Amino acid sequence: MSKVSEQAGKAGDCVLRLSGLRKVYGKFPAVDGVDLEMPRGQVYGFLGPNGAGKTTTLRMVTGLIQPSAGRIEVCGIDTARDPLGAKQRIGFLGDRPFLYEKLTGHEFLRFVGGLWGMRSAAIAERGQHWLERFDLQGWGGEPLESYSHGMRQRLLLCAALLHDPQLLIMDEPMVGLDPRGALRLKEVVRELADEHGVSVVLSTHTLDLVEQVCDGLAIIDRGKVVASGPLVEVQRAHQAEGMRLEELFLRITERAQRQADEKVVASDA
Amino acid sequence: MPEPVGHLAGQRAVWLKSLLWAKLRPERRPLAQKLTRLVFIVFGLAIATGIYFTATWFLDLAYHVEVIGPLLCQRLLDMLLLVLLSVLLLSNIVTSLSSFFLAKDLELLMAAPVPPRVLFGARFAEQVVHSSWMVLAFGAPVLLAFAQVAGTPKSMLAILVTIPPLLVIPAALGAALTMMLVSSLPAARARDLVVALLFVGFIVLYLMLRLIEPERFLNPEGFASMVSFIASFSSPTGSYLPSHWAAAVIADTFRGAPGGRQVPLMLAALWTGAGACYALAGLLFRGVYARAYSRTQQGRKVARLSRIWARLRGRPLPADGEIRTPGRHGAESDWLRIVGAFAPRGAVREFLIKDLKLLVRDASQWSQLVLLAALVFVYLYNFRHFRQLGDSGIVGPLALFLVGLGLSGFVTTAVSVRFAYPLISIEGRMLWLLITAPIKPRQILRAKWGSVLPALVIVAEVMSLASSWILGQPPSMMILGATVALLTALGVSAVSIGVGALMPEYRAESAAKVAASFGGLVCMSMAMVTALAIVAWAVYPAYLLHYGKATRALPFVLAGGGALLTTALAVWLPLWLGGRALDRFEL
Repeated sequence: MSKVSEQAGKAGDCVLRLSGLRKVYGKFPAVDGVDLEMPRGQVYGFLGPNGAGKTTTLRMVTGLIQPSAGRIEVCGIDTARDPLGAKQRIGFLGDRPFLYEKLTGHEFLRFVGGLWGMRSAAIAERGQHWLERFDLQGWGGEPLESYSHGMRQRLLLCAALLHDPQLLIMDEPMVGLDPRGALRLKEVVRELADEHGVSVVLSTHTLDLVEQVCDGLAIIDRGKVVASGPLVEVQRAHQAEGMRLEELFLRITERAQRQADEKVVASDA
Repeated sequence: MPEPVGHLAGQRAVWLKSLLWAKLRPERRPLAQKLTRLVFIVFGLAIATGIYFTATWFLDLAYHVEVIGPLLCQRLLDMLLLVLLSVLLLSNIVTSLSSFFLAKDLELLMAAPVPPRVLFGARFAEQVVHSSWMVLAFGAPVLLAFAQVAGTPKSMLAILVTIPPLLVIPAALGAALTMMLVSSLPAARARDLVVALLFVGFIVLYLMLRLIEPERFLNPEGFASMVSFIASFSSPTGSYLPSHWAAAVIADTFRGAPGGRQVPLMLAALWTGAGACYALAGLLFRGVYARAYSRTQQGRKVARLSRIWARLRGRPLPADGEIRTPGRHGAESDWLRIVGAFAPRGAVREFLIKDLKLLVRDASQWSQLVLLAALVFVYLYNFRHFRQLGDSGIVGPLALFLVGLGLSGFVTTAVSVRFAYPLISIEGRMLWLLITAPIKPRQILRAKWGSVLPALVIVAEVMSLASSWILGQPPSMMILGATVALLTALGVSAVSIGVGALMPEYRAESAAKVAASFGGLVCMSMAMVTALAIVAWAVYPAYLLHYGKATRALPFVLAGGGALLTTALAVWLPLWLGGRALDRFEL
């Protein structure tokens, strides 16, 4: 049985709540009224075809872009009213691992910790802990220009976890990771959720990852959430009990495509 | 599957054409960039015209020196071409480093089935264009002036025939030297070393030219001593140098030239020399390029030099497991600990420490610091002459003091635009981190301002106090000058940071490119207006102090209040507008 099914139904108070979230570029709605609730201590997979609005949604949550409409609450904090309070509780791993090339791994963590207002001793202790967890203990003193793609990704994970976030948002976290790094990431994600009550949102195209570590999923297409909840519930809602996630994903997104096409034809008529 | 065997030459032509087209084609640019380019072109044309008329005037003087005039022109041509050759060589080393090792598309090209000869040809052509156009743009007016003053219609033809090999030779030598350097020095550090050494080379060249004091030509006595100086070179500048061959070929077409038998030989030497250099660089490319390129892709060796340096200082790098923390009680290196002790806690200190580290570790940045030191030195060196002007009674001491304040404000502005304006833009791809961090955009701006302000205040104060001292000003005027310098540094740095956030260049590859952008021009103008507005408040108090009429406090209070208000506005408004722009920025 998949992790998604096992964890189904586990719930707590809400860590992330999106209500009527919209982002419009010109006339094009990249995100078109997303409603989503995510309980504490759960891992959610955020799925969707390319250009569906996944990254835009996550970027709105992290404050990188401003919503055109709607509301985002992180741990009960409205991000529009208290953006800093919300950011203090979020850890973010973007889809492209950009770093300050001339800093060392230690110095980068020191800088990030400082931005989150952490004390030096705490940065040293937490930084070392995460460097060891992600097998980077021998690399902390090396300049970042000498890091490989996967190492950068792992260092950014260390940085995202440094300040003990309550909500961890990761956009394509598996890109560039070797099998060992990928395994370590999955272990850490589950550990964070199960033992520390951290909620994790993973935007990914790796459906195996969702099956293995996620408690629930949300499929977004053309800026709208077309399916959400624990896998078993999504399967049930689409009369697809026992179906693999890959097949289910294709069925849901193809149906959404057909509905959109029909809508266009109807409006043309 | 392409069939290149029977059509190899044609296939090579296609590769070469596409590679060159990709790099040298005219790009579609947004309006702001087109405008910047237009401003630069107009500015460049004005400078080139100025160079042409100055050179014509000067050569005319030299040509009409009795007996030795034509010979003097030939010597000058020889010296000019030697300088052009040296500058081209330096420029080519920098450009070849970028064309052959740092360009982003190399990864794709190295993986593609492009024959080495084609790749070399394309990169070489690109390098010649990029490294030579500016030298040529400013060298051509002088060569035209030679043809105009001393030459005949044949001179233009001689210039056209001799210049291409003069461009190819330094390009080939520069490429060869870079390939050898990168293949023998530890990987990525080689590029930093090359860039740093070259900047130092440029600065030495610049200082040498400045110390000759070309303005002496304006003075008849100075001109006479210069003529004897040039004429004293009894031997040519170097018979084996391509610049000498080119000078001989061009000078042979001058009026009244004796007609040397060696001219065809020198022309042949120029062209065969260029061919040989190109072939040599091509051979080296085949032999060492793949290995050298591979070395630039290996990152971990980068830290070795740092480790050796740390051991030599007796301060080994931290062992694994130790994260050093800068600040009052940190174990950071000495200078950072001092900086950390003085910096306020929080975001300002984090940005200050981070930006300082990035500054000293980036060779292209600290070479700019050397350039800054050279700029201040040249400013102060030239300022000595102002005192002589004052002594001769041509300009009054009060006017000199005010000119000094204005010039000092101008240098402060230039330094600020170069170092403070790009501070927001260079965050570029790292903005994701700053925006997701729980700090307000205004805090980022204030931190950046705070990190650049002390250095700028020091530069402004050094210039103000040194120029007051050189002019022999009394303490009261010195204090006035120092106050104006402090306010100028405060205002100008805030304007630079604010405009940096309002008109950022996040895609620029380096801070130097950010400073040279359209936003940089706008920033320069705004900062200059600010500096002049602050200096303007000092005019009346300076007048009262200079003529001993400072009997009442009211004028000083009013002028001081005005200057403070101007500075406060110059600090608050750009930081507020910049903060708002950053607040609305979406990534």
